Amino acid sequence: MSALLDQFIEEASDLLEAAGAALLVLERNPSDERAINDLFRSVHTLKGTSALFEFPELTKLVHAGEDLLDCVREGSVPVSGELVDLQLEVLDVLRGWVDYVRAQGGLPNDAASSSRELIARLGAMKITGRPTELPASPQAGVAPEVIGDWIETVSERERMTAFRAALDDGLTVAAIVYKPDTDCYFRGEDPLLTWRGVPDLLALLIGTVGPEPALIDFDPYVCRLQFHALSTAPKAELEHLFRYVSDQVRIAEIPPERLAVPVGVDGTDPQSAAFADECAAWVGAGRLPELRERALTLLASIDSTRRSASALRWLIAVIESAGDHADWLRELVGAVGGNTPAAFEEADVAVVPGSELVDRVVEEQRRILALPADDTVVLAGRIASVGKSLANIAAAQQAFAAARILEGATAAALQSNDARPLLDALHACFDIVSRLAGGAAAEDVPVSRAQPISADGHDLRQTRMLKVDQAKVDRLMSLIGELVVAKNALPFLARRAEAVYGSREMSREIGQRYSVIDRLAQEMQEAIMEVRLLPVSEVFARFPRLIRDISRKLDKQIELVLEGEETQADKNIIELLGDPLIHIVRNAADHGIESPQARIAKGKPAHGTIRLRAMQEGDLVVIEVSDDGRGVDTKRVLAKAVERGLINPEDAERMTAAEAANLIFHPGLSTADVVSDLSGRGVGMDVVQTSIRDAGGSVSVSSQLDVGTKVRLALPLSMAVVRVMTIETAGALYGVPIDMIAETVRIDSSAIREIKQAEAFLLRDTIVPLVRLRKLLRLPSRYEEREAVLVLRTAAGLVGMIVDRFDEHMDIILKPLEGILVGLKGFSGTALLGDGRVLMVLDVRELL
Amino acid sequence: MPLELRDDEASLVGSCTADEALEFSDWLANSAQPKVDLAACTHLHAALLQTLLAYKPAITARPADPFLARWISPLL
Repeated sequence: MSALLDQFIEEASDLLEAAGAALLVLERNPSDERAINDLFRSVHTLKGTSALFEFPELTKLVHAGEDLLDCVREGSVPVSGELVDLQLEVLDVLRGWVDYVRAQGGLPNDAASSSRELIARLGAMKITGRPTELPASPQAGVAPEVIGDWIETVSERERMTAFRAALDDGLTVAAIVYKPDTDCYFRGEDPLLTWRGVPDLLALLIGTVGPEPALIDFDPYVCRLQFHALSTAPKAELEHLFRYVSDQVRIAEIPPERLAVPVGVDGTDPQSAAFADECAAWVGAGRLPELRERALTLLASIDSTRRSASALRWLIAVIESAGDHADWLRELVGAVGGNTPAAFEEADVAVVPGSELVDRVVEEQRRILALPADDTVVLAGRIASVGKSLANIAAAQQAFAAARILEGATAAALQSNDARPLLDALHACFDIVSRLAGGAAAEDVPVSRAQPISADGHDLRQTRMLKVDQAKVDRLMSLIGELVVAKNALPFLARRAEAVYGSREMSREIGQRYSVIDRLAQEMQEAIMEVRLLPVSEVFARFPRLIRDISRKLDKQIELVLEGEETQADKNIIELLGDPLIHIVRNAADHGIESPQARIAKGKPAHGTIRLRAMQEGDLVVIEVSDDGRGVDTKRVLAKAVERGLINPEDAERMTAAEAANLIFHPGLSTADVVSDLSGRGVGMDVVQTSIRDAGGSVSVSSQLDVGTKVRLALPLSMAVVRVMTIETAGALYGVPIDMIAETVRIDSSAIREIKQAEAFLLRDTIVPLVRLRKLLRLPSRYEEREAVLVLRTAAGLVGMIVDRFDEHMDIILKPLEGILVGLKGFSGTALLGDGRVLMVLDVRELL
Repeated sequence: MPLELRDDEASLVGSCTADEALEFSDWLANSAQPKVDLAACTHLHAALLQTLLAYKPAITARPADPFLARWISPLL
């Protein structure tokens, strides 16, 4: 598998997780902009990266999901439980596929069919989410931007060619809007090559999208082009041509009258006004040849850049073309007189979208206009040039309404020989003053060329993390472990230097070197430990989803509160926490939290709360799961324990509530009678206890009836380094984890009492049973005058273990038993010592 | 070689692909008064077009290719 694919799998898993989390936030608060943006970004990035590989089903599904999210963002589809359900299902399927890719290198065989099915459901959700927006006019269903203001910026000549083709030759004119994705170059798309193939291209406008970036930020591979075009090719043919980029292209047929729009400098003159007045009635009277003659005469005498001149040209074109179009003619006659054709009137004042560059240019133009001018010729020149630049900027930013306003204002300013109308229009069309105030501070920020910018414009550098295969970290860790062990050989060497070679000085020098290496090794060990630290949020992250699913399934209202998610612990500990926590949280949701009705009857709020709290206590990480549910019914637990013969009735009488509550960890005791779909699948709390204990942790529970239950897990921060006490027995070294040892004592053999076959001794008025390690390990027995006894803490109380000799304390890196040794009972692992000997670490619990 | 870069003049020759865009934009960014010769260019990838639009170099020779001459050349 390629490194790129590996990276994709890692990234996709993270993105899916982030998307899932954001989706849940969104469900609770549909207006949370950050959540929807997070969600969008995750899905969008996933779509982009997946396209690098041959996973079309995956890319399509992500795309369909993104599409629906787009509607959510626009507000046309509401966030509903069903929508979140569907999106979560999509995420689950995607996660499954990513896992499959990880294992098999490709998508599962049924990917195509499940992708199709989900895409259909996403599409249905999109439509049923907005039933009110169904087509009302024949043009509806076409995205408004296809037939929009841009058509008027197509040159009159080109529009007229299209117009004539439509009326005289009966062709349809198609409007094509092609907005390539910003990352389309990476998919090997070349929009210009596509355009090359478009037949009967009558007009092609090429513009750039969004604010102009400073040249220093210019990235040739972020596509910023967009295209608007007219063609007389059949729509079906065009759709076929653009089939590979169909999601980026909109094609619609234009009604011919939409092309016949007079454009030009506003303002009127007496001749044109007279023409409009006199000829208004000619259209109805059928005096078209006369109208044409009159129009041609007028056209020759007025400024051809005027809008009225343009209206005249269109008038002539309409008269000359086939068919009867009285309505259009009437509109155009009015337009010659200075009316804006009603159908094309712009109601809203468009504000030109700004950018740093636009702002700078506009500000400069404003400065020029505000300069004092004594000479009217100079002023007129300025107004004309500024007006033209501003209109161009507006048009370049696709703000055509603003462009027209600016053109009109320029004409008015020229007529009155006063810059004020243009200045007013400038302020109306460019939201410049407020932005400049904010922009001044931003200019101080240095911009570096090398800034890596991802496709959606986010700075990658800040979020860049080094992703390392865990195996590499583990290898580094074991190498450091070996270094620690190798380092431990130096004190032996120092002793030998003195004892064997009689060089005290040499011995001291080795000692000094040792202390330096020792310090470095310790720092390295701490550093690698830190690398392995993960926040508990890694485990907590799955619970919002879990709680959501459970509450929907059981019809309960449950709120989940997470606290201390930033608390860190070793990766192994974090991973180990997952399953036990799921079990505990499920128990709390399933058996703990009551139904809303039952809660209200008890005088509690309808929604229950489950709280997951993590914190660090010394070198332990503590996780508490508490709920405000019905609590553990200790009486019932006790009754059941007695019934099943787990404890005898007398003990039950004496037990405190806390002790009784902790009975739920006993194997074969389930707190609920019902076995639901959620918990009670044969995995009891005893499994939780076992796995936590195996990691050197402890579990306890406290509960109050009808108030709630709190389960507390305490685990070591790190499992990697174990502090052991070494002991010698029958010539071999063994290690015992120091936290098992209560104390070490030496007792006279006379103090050992024999009770039947068992031995015991008295330790401060308590009888402590004795075992002999030699016997446990089936080694030849040996009895001495004074026996060395390790007093061990066990589940059943203190136990004394007789060993041959105590040795020193030692930090070791415990390695689990491997190969054929795996089945060996009584040992939890091995460690290598400085002098090359192997230390076997005893698993006391198993041994006893 | 579709991209011929000299001190202050570049020639785009034949069909120019996206691969050339980075080198070309670097050249444009580092030339004081860049001039570009498009006479022998038969196709321009969109990435190169947007690079030209961004840096607006002087065009010393217009493309002969009909598509480029009709639709692209007026923009430059």
